[in-house]
Amino acid sequence: MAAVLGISGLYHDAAAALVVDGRVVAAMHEERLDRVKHSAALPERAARACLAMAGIDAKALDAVVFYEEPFAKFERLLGWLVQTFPRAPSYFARSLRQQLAKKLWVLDELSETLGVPRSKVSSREHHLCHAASAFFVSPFEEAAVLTVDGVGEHTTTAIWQGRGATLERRFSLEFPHSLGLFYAAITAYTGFEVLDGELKLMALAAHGTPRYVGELSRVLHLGADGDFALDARYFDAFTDTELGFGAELERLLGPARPANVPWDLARSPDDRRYADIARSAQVLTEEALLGLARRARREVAADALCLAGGVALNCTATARLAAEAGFSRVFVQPAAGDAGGALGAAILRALELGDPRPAPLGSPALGQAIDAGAGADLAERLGLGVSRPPRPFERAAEILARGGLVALATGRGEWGPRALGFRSLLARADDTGVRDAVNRRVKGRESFRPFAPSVLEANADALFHHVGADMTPFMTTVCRPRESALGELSGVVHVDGTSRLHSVSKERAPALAELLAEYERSTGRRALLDTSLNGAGEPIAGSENDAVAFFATHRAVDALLLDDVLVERRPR
Amino acid sequence: MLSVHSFFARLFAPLVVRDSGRAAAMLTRFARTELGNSLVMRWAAATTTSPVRRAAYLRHALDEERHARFFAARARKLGAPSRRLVADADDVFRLLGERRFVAFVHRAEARGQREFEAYERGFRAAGDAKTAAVFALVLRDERRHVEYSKDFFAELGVGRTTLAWVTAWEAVRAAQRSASVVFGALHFCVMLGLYAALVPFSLVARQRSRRKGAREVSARSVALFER
Repeated sequence: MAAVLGISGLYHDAAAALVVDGRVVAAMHEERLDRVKHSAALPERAARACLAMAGIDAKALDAVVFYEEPFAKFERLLGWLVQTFPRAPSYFARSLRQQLAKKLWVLDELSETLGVPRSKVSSREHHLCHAASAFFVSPFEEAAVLTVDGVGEHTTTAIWQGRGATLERRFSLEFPHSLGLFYAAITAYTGFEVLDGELKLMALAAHGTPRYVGELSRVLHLGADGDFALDARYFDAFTDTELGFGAELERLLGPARPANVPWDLARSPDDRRYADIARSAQVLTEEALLGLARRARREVAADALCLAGGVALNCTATARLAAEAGFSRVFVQPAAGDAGGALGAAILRALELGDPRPAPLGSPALGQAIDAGAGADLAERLGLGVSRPPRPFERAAEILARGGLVALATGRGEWGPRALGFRSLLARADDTGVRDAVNRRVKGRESFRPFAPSVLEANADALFHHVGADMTPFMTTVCRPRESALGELSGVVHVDGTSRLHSVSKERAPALAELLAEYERSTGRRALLDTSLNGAGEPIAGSENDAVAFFATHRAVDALLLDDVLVERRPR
Repeated sequence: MLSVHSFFARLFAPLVVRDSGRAAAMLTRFARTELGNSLVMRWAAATTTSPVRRAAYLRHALDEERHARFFAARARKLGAPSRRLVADADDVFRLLGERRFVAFVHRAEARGQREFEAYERGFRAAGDAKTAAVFALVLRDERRHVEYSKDFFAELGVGRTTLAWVTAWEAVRAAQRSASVVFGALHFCVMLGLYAALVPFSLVARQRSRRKGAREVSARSVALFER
């Protein structure tokens, strides 16, 4: 029996995960603690918070595992810098400094920072960590596992056979042939920030038509049997341009969109062109993933598929895989991106040490816990009204019913980038005016981006077609609402007629389940708009401090529910 | 007291305020600094054991976030490119402990106040009332920060010795940062030289890739996607 800490970090979405005696006891994103969105730090805060959550001293750890092999990654970097010569002098200088000063010695730094003997600190291959993060917490005894991201050490894509407590690699593609890099290049081309804007590109795609598929097929060649290749001429990743795409792509598609210019899809033909390009990139990505999934189906005689890696967060694509790839079940764990590598790394080492495979992931609430008492005290000191009403959910449902916004911060924070009922901002789902107010007054997002619904698991089938019960609890796929439910869901249906459904059960998200039940009792409506508890450019709230700070600074939000404490504004 | 910062602020304010490009760059720098300060205060709020100071630090953090937004918005009006602000900060609370941290906050806010006063006067004198108004808004909070941090002195036992220690620490940190800038420039030059040494390797790599030929994959029909 062992206590193993997994770590991902020093690139983006740093995280730590703790597995004790084969049980996932904590998993946290560094950004929820250091308050830097997509934090690229070595996640010391998250690591310590995981240990504190389990009541374990770092010295009692049996192993600490980093989610990639630092020297293998350095080798790939050097090889690529040789190939891109002479286009990367600044990038060469900067990346070598980062590598030599920090990244290469990350295992030593982890040992020193955590006070764990160096002999207990090791690393595992990036894509193996991704695969482990998906398969070992899935409900499947046997499954094909597909890992797809930008790049790990050398691998960008891999197919694995998962069986019991083992993972066996069946196929892989290497850098630079990468779906993640392709999507990142189009993300940068359309003016979004890479590693942040990929999901914006996915949302934008729904507004376009795929009329650039022909052009983009020259960039991403889809081969037979799941193979694909990028034409390097169109890319400029890892050079001084720092854009990801090259001048050749602009010659092919026209000028790139400048960053941070407001979008106007209704009036700007240029913006509609970018939406068409986004749609074309999305279609090609989905086709590539379908090819890979079908190959996985052939290579691995299993009826279930697990996905991991940043590309697995593309919930439109996961819905297509569930419908068309030939598997009866598909699972994507909530932190499918790099953060999830921490969880995979920890599980891999725990299995090596003889621990049993973890139970399937139940609740995503693996993060930092709220201290409602401390939050109430803080809110009072900041001049907010604090009460402990006998039926707080009834009061919250009242506010929601009249079109108000309620922030919910309860229990332990979510694992993964989605609000799943623990750090959520809630509103009516049947009112597009309320949706627009959430966007304009709180979230400050591009107007083309959709909001997601939360509904009780018991109501999901009545409201949506083909609910993928393995993914909807973690909001990692989309579903199509039933005609009869469109009025009830008008604020949470995307322009392509889908919704990123969050199905809620009492076991997984008790507070949100109770609030949804109360809302249905009092209004007859079964869905709430559920978005993450953060303002523009901020990480999701972690602690009660963050939740109270969010509420104090967003006057459009009417109430904050901190466990059983209701925080409201005092009348002026 | 005239600190080095406020001395330079007074010296350079007349130059900065007359050129909107320079003003925009400076305001962006301030926005970044304020955002970094907000992180420092958030971390302090998460670490202190006192509920009173937690509320004070958090309120301070929210002020700094607001300042960052003010400065960034004004910078954009003056022509700065619209980019996401990225802050860099040290966890000063953890480095120094709370007693010295409060002394540090007090000194830093007083320094900021003097610097911003110089710029506020400068922009007002140059006829840029809008930028001056941003500084005036920020200054109102800065003065409050100077006061509240001083109010904690007695409670935490901050005396002259602590203030002197923090002054020395700040001087060492400033020297380290300067050294880091110099080292960074030196490192960059050395790396450029090293980069040039990649020439033969890159030639070999190109020859190899020519021999290997293009990766063979059969492109699917475009018609596949026309649906």
